[in-house]
Amino acid sequence: MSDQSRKEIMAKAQYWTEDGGADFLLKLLSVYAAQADACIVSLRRAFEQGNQADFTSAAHTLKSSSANVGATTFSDLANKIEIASRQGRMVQTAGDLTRLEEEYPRVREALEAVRVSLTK
Amino acid sequence: MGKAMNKGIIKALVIDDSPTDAETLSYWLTKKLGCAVEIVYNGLDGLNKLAEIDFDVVFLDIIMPLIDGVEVLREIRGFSRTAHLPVIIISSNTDSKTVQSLMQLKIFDYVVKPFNAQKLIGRLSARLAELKGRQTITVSMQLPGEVTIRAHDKEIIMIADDDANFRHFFASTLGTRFHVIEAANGAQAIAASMKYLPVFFFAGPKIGIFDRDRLIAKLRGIPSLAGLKVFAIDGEGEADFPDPSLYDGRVKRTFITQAFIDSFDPCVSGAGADRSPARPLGSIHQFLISATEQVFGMMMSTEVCVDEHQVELDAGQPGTYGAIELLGHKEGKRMTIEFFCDRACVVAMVMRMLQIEEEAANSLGLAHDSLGEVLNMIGGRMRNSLGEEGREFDLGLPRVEERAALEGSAEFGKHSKMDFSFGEGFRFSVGVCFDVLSTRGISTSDIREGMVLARALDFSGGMQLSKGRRLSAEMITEIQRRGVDEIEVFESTQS
Repeated sequence: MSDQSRKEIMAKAQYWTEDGGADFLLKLLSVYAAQADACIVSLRRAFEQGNQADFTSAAHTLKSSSANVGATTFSDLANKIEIASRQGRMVQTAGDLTRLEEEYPRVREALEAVRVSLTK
Repeated sequence: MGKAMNKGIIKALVIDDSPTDAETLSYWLTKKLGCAVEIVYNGLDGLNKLAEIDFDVVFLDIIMPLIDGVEVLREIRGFSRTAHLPVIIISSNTDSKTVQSLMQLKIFDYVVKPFNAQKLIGRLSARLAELKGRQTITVSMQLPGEVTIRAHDKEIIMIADDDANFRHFFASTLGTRFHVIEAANGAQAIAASMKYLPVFFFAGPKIGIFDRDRLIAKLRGIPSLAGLKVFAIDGEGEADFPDPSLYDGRVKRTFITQAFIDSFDPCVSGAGADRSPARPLGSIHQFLISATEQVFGMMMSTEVCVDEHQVELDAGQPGTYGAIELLGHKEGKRMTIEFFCDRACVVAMVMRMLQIEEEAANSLGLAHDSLGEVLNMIGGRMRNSLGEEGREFDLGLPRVEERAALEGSAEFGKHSKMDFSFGEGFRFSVGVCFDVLSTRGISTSDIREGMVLARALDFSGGMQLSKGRRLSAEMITEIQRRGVDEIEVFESTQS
């Protein structure tokens, strides 16, 4: 999944750049990073507290925001978690939640690489 | 609505608790669609902002903490200054109850999250153009044979050109004489033409990736656009003279206003004055497209668009058929909205609506319930639209059934029909037909024999009933509890 995420993010960055939105992308990366950091923390906390509403909400937010920066596979995983939670299967998402947490630093790495390339 | 609009710039408020989504939407609205945008990150701030400032349109997220989008929308509708403000829902995941609440609160459109830039721009540019036009356009709806669309003595014309500057010049130069619809590419041009049925169509030399001649040939093949006059817009010295068999004339492509007008006027001689041509079903067709795109799109959390191709139903094809009636007692008219698609399309719909796997979505019961609910919502939207025109229609019950073949397909969508598409090429058809409504009263003793319009009883679960179906003991008890003495049964005869 890591390579896939990196490719997707790079492709999206290229799209933004070619469309004249490089400056906006820089801003978006910063906004996303802050938001996604908070979501990842919220997800784990809500999971451990058994708070389904917060868990679903965090997965929901992570799903759409991640897709906007090109992390579509990561977004799909958040979507899978959201659906399961909505259907009352939050406990069964433990494995997917761990995958999401493991993948997130790699998504951040890819986004950082984009940021560096844009600021050169 | 419209108070905030200044020099054609649409002022938009985005209410979304996700900064990434809000910033992304704001970027597209500002950079690509020329809107002036303000963002707030929760419903409360949104309501405060709306109390202070006039906006032309609101983009509203649904799932938000503290006050969700439905509550915000309810507040907006309850406040006289914003009661008619166009609200576009930003949706990624909504259940059917939420969607139903939204539809009752009259949303203007929906946008699916996560955003797909191209689809977003394509969809919103058409909707925002419509918003600009709302300042001057008045739609008058009547039933077949008498349906007209009037634009305050302005005729609808269309400009398709991928140069935004020229479109802007064209619209601002002619905006006082015509209602101008803009399209930036071929797909938009076809969809908007079918939707707005313009009198004149002006095609620039470049219309996205579509070859101009091919686009015009397509338009010429659409029956509802028969009689459309099409003009090429070319700069001086353009080498390729358009094919005279496809075009009715040529207009000079120049930014010099007088030179443009001098070239334009002879082409439309007499138009742009006091003429309001009748277009059968124009406005009902338009409202049905809007209702279908919105309801199906919201229910499935995906883009649903009217297809540029004309429907040619295969009468021998098995599939799912659905219908819902709107009954005009006073006028003695009945409008039936019909639906038809093949099995694969239904399964795809159910998977999206209920977010379930294919195996579970194969259940006919689930499919029929889901489609019944969708038809119910579309019918409700159409009833509201008719109501705004002072026409009283009652909503009947949806009925959904499997058909080995679409019997009597010539009758399907007898007065108006269109195709819609979503996802990976799935298509379905929606049609409208009208006939004369006659009624007769029956006593409660007849109820047991079925044939009851449950809507007359105000059953919240009325959609579970259908014509010809026997009432359950529970429902009969409920009818008696409400002291209903008489129920009307509606029958129809072809006009």
